[in-house]
Amino acid sequence: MAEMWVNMGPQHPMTHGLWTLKVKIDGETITDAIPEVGYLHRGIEKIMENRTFPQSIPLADRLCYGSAHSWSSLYVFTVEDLMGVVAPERAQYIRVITLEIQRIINHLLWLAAYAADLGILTMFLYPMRERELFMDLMQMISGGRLMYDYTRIGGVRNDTPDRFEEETLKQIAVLEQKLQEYEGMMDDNDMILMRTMDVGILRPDDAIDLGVTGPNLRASGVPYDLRRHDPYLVYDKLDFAICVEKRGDCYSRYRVRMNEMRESMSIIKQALKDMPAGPIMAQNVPKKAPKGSEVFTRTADPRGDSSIHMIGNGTDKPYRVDIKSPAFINISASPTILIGNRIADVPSIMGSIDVCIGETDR
Amino acid sequence: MSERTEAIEQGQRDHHKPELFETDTLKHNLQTGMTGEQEVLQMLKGKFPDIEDMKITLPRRIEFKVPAEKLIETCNILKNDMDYKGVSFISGVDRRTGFDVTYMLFSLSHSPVLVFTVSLPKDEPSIHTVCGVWRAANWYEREIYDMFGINFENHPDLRRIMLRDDADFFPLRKTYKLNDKPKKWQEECRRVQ
Repeated sequence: MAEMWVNMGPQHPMTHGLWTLKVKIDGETITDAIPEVGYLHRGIEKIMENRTFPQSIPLADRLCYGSAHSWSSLYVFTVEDLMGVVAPERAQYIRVITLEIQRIINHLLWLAAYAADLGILTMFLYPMRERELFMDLMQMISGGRLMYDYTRIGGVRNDTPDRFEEETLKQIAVLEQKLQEYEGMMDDNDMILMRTMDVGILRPDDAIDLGVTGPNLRASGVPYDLRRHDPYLVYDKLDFAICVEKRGDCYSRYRVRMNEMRESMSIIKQALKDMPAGPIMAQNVPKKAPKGSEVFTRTADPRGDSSIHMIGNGTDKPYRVDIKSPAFINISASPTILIGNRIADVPSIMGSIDVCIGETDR
Repeated sequence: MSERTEAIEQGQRDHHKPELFETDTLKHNLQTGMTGEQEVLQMLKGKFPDIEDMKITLPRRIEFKVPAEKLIETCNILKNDMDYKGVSFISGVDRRTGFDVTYMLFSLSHSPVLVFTVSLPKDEPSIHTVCGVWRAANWYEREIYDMFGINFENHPDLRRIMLRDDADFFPLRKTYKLNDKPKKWQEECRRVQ
């Protein structure tokens, strides 16, 4: 049979946003693939160059609808590095707690969307229901449910409200129980296993060479986690495991994210216990970045390693902001994962990578 | 199904056997021992005696400058002899007097991050691609070409990535102001209205 190109996207249930995947098929087998992005390019880097440092915090939230807080935090950490500001310890603990809540929210959203991709619509509703509980927690602390705008240069906007610790521990206890339920629905389902086991395998050496990071890299058996290897905030004081799976297929990527939610809950519990009293904002935060300053800051986003390269020129606006998104480079690696698989497995493979177009196109 | 497809499927099956994941290279990568900045700096100074302004700027960050003609040589040494197996990002900067391309490398066994910069002239900036060293460089370089108009020689697929293919401007250059609207597209919009 002759080979032919099939366009998947920009509007396709597989894409989770606007992007195109062109696949070349021979019969059912994929022999080549070309991803195309750029439909959502808003020029956020250029806009940030024209705004003062605090003005860009809500804009950084808009980079990704799934994990807004991790992006505004990364932006704030970069500005703090640039200005040489260090947040007080209590603020750092609050940031760890909110970032881990954000990770859980993101992974639950991913699990719901992935289950719907694979065809179990019941499973779409269950994680969404528990995601609400954690969004309620974020609403308690920041007032927002999807866009939080909570971190500030030098600290956080407000202290934790009354009953926050109690409520958090309550919701964590609920999720711990529900995770077993999800695993029962996913792991005992033959259809899920057939569509994920040994499908879309990414070898570890390929993954490293292609720049894939985060849960996708750890699913290929490489124990690399920025929270451990390049620690920021107070992660070096907390005890958590790097979740690694050996197979490198879609099932491993699902397992890694399930285990990461458990580790996140353990981190939140430890941080709540260790959190000291004290101020939540640093004193005398400068408005301007020093001339000639240049920093490269990285954090472990729920999707992988995100980084910002920022240059200051002595004014209250950055000279250059360069945002590097993990989803961007994970999409660029998709041809290597897809070639050799069947076209019917494309939604399963691309869903397992966890794509967000808002942060890819910026 | 054609012979070629069968070969690709067979190749995928053989290439991706899970037991292959236990290779020696992987075990080597599993060592996550922290190496200090000073040790890596000494190693780098031994490998590259020509580079003078090598320094630790922040904890776990080592920065230096590389001349454009020595880029590929440097990258190969860093990847093959020093275990910097991955590129974390490549970023472009318009310095008004010229362009900078900055490479940030990470390693799975050493903790410091290497950041090195290549300076390019203002007119017709051009540099050799590093896609042959790290495949991750492909889209990063396409993006820099799209935003700054820096040409990457021997790049396998140098096209616009964010903007339309018929765009004739480079938006992140400092000569392009935030509210500039390309004339060609303005006329198009008027026709639609």
